[in-house]
Amino acid sequence: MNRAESFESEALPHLDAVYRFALRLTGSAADAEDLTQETFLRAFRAWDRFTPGTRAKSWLFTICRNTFLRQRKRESHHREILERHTPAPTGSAVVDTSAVPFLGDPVLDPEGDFFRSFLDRTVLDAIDSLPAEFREVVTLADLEGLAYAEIAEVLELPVGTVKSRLFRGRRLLQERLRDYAADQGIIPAPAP
Amino acid sequence: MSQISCQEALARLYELLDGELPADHADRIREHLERCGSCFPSLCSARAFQELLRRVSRGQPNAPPHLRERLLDLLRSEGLDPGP
Repeated sequence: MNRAESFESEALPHLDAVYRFALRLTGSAADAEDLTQETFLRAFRAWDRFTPGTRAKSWLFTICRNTFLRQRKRESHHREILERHTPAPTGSAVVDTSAVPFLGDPVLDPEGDFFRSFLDRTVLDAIDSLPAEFREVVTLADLEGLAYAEIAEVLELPVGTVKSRLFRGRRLLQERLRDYAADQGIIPAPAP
Repeated sequence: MSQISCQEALARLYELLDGELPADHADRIREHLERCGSCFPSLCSARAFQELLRRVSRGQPNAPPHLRERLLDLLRSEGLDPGP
């Protein structure tokens, strides 16, 4: 099997999983598509460095996350430069984002039909609201089914840290869902 | 009741459900959680929570077809086999 064939049979089947992971990282379908594309291009160019027999999925997730972190770092650097050199907008120059339909709203995004149910949306929102260090482990373990050792590889952390973050992340997620259910009157609110 | 303490059983609860414990250890933890009146509700609640997340996970979107096509075009231009 040549290089291209092995990439096609080992890496490409994980396209959906990488896209879902990218969605959780970026929070928008358009950014997730760009990130997924960049991930696979980088993976293909680096395919010679992939060790056959190891899990391609966690290798791709590692590339995806590193690419995302690099992009975010670059963007925040650009933002800092812009903020330093752009005078603060005033009066009518201020853009009222609430007047721009769909802007930055994944629910109203044209691709938004992928969120099948209200409950799923609620759970995903709760996952997205977790601090990044917990969101990553919960996503990899509970949405993508990676083993602790694989998560440790993707996040470049010791397995013990993955375990404790997962424990705390799940507890935090349960608390947020419980608070939401209480707010909605689905369960009784806890006594003050 | 086994020698496992409630504290240990609850600390290992998610490792058990995640399939991360060696078989004999998993059996002892599971036995405690299923038989202990004060631990059993935590086991049920964790199982229900995990089931909820699995359901959400199954409802997650796949990569849109246009992304797959665009990516395959790009990869082919870099030397990926055009395929059938």
